[in-house]
This record gives sequence, C-alpha cells and structure tokens, in this order.
Amino acid sequence: MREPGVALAGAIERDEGGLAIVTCPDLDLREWLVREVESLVPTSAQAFRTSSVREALDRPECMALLIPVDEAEVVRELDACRDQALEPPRTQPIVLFLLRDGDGHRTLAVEAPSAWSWASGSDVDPEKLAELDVESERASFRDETGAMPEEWLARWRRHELPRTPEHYARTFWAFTLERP
Amino acid sequence: MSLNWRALAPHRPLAPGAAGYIPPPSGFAERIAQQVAAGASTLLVTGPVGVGKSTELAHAATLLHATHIACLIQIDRTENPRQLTAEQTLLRIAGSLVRMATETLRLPVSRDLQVSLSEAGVMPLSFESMAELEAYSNATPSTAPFRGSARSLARAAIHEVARLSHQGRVALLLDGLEKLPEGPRAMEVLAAVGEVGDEVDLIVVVPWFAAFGSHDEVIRPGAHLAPVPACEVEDDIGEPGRRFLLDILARRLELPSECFEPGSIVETMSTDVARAREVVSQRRELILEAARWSGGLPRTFLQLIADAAQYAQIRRGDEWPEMQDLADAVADQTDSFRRALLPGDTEAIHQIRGTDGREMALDRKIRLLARGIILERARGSGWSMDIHPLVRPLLGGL
Repeated sequence: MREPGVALAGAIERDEGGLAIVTCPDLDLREWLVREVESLVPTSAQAFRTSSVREALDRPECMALLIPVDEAEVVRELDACRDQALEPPRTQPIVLFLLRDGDGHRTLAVEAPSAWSWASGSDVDPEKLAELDVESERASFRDETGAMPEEWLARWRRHELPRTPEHYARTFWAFTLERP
Repeated sequence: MSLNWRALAPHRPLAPGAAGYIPPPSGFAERIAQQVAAGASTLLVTGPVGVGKSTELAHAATLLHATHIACLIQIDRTENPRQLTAEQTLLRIAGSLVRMATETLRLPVSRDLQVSLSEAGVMPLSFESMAELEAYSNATPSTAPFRGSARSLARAAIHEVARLSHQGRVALLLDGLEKLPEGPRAMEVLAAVGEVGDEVDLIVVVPWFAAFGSHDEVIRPGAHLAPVPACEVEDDIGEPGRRFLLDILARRLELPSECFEPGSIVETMSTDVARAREVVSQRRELILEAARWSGGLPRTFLQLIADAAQYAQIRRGDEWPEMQDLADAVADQTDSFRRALLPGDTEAIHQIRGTDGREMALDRKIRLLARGIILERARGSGWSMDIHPLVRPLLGGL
C-alpha cells in the first residue's frame, strides 16, 4: 500500500529534472498544499512560486512551484517545451499544482502526451490517497515511527528530526494524517 | 560501490555517439540508415512517448555520417513547437546545419552565409569567427550582408555544406516536430521542411495526425512511414525485448550485464555462493518483472525501476528495491494511465484488441497510440493492437 506522504515525497524527489504534479481538490486546498510543500522541501531547493512555464524553465537550479492561472495553457506549454528542461540539466524539479478533474488534467489526457509522459508516475493526489482509511493509516504511522502524526510533526517543527529523505517522506505522510 | 539510480534518467534521450546506446530488437536506427542508403529520401518517424524515438534518431545520425553530412536538429530544444512557423523552421535548419559544419566539421562555410544566419538569430558567432569576420570585412570592399527568404537561406546552406563536404550529401534528422498542434500551421511547417530540396534526405519525427492518410501530402511525395515499435516483452517472444531493457539498465548503472546472471557468481573463499546467487536471482526477476510491466517502452521501464529504487531508499534506506517497491511504482504508473483514459475508451479499446485497429475513431486512436495506451505490434504478416500491461487492470476482463 502506498502511503500518501511517501507517494508525495517520491513524486517530488524522485527525478531532479522532473515534473511532479500535485492534484488539489479545490483552490483553497491548493494553497494549503503549496504551503505544505514549501515548508517541507529543503532550503537548498530554493523553492519559488510562479505561474509562468518560461520562468520555471529558466531557473533549473530552483524548485519551481508552478501554480497556473490558466491550467490548460500551462500544460500545453510544458508539453511543447519539455525537452528544453534537458539543457542545461535541471537540478530541481518543477512541481505543478492542478485541480482534480480540472482543465489541466483534461489537457494532459487529451492534448499533451509529452507532458503526461514527463510526469508519469509522479502525479499524486495526496488527499485521495489519504481517503483510504485514516485510522488504519494513523496506526501504521505509529507502528512505523513510534509516534502519532501530531507528535512527529511537533518534533519536526522543533527541528529535532534530522532532514533526511526518510524523515521528509514520513513528515509528508504525517501532514496528510494530522488532526486539527 | 553505491549505485547511482539518478543515472537512469528515464526522460533523457541519448546523444549521437553516446556510449550507453543499446540497439533495440527492431534495429530501428540500422534499418533507417539502410532505407536511406537504398534511396528512401523521406521517412516519417512516429511512435508512442518513451519508445526511444529521439535516441534512435540520434543513433541513425551517427550511422549516416559515413555517407552524409547527417545533421540532427532537436527543434523543440530551442523553439516552442506550439508557436513554430514555417520560416522559423527553415531558419533553424539552416542555422543548425551551418553551426555543425563550422564548429564540428570545421568546414570553411562562407562568411556571408554565417553573417546572414547570425543576423537571423539562429547561429551565434564564436569569438574566433567574429575576429575572422572582422579581418575579412576590413580586407574586402564594404558590402551589405546577404539577405534572403528563410527558404533561400536554407537551400543556400544545404548546397554550400554539401559542396564543401567529402560526403557530398546532406541528411536532416528533425526531432520535436511531433509536438506541433494539429492545424493549418502544422501542415505549413511540415510542407516547408519538404522545400529544402530533393537532394536532401529527410528523417522527420512527425505528429500522429500526419501518420494517417496520404503520406505524400505531409512533407513531399514519396514519403514513407517509419514507426518506432515498442519491443515485445511478454511470453517467449518477449525474451529479446526483456534482455534489451535489462542491458539498458545495466549500461546506465555502469554495471556489466552479467551481474544480473546468477550463474556468473563464482565460488571464492569469502563468498556464500548460494546466498549471492539467490540475491542476484531476485534482482533479475524484479528487473524482468518491470520489463513486462513496461510494455516494451524503455522510458516506462526505467521510470518503474527508478521509482521502485526510490521507494526502497525512503522507506528502508535500502539500495535495491523489493517486489513491494516495484508494486507501488507500478501503482503510481497505473494511476497516470488511469488519468489519461476518457469516457468511452474502455469499450473502444476492448473492441479493437487483437485487430489492426482500423475501426477505432481516428482522434481516439491517435490519443491512445501517442501515450502508448494501445501499442501497434507487428505480428505475423500484419499489425495487431495490443493494450499496455499497465492499462489492462484498469479495463477489467482482460
């Protein structure tokens, strides 16, 4: 079973020159997810927000959090310009935030095979994955880490946990299971 | 030795002459070079995303160098195909050819042509070239730089480079035009490519919509379709394909392919041979399982292995993935395929499975073929539509 946090961390970290897609249920949660990603990625990633594909491509050393104004047009442009991400080689991915069932996903399915392939396997819907069984997931989290998600996050926020890939993944996971 | 899984780089095609090239079972690049040698002067290349079109085109360029000035132009690396015009395409062809001729082959291309292309913005002049040009202009009467249409500049470049070369003939290998959006401008761009001259051999990756119907009307009369096939990876017929993918993996990880052969483990004083063979056997089975799931698409195969390796790393800190990691990587990829399916696809795919696919509506067929959701397989004397292994669980009853 794929834990949502591991899937999200995997999507963002697995390909340093890649395109990761984070699917958001609505615009409010999109903003929340953007902030969560911002707070979790290492400062060395130099994450920045943009709505421009050109700006994302022009800064290959920074993690571009691509938040489209026009999802369909952004997907079309990524499709056309995918190979421009090859030279110079990117050292950080582009993270694209798309609405679930929105124009961006439809354009990926209908018009943009290159962008679809670029993101293939790295497109996650963290909330949907988390819908599976929260109680069981929380129990799994405790079994694996020895802490409840809230305890884990408190330690993370106090910088008591080393910033390792494993801890980032677990922190992503904890975020999706955290209770208000 | 720790493995560099990032070196798998699923989305990075190999450059011409790259050491990591492994020929696919179809021998596509070899076949292209043979067809050109036999007189096929216009080849339209198609294939699903991730099948290796760019890598094969780059290798075909290497093979053609003996007989041609073979110029590989990856047009989508410098231009946005959605905004590309016929004029820009011709200028980019001229610029790329002259740049290769001057920088790589050191051919003495005329200053007039270099300056014209530099002013057109498609060929940066090196510091050395600029110094030479300054000396040239000081020594010759002042004349305005040559100006011409994009078509005339492209033809001038081809004639001049062909004349200066010992091969005497130019082959242009154009990659990236498959991203042209369907419409009149795309047809103008493709037609403009055909205007570079009959003496030029053209190997062009074209959009799927150009692959159906009359090929004579796409670039120029006499064009042949050259689809890059996904290799077979299932059952006995898939053994060469699985081997091909395993070899790609070994090469990218800079490992000898034999290291995935349990029989290659030899007994030494310090080795538990049985245990070592078991580990190698497990790794080999995981790789072959990923190969089966990939449908024969190298990019998908590398992505599955890279994703599985990452799951192993972030979950357990392990260097090698286990079957559960691969299962989760397969689930990620299946999710991507699920999002690419639209209403009506399930029934339409069921109906054409095992046929040559002619009964499927063209726009649907193009969309599904481009993504590798359905795969054209050469079986027996004809073509048969297969369904990608990652898609089958989404359709039910397959």
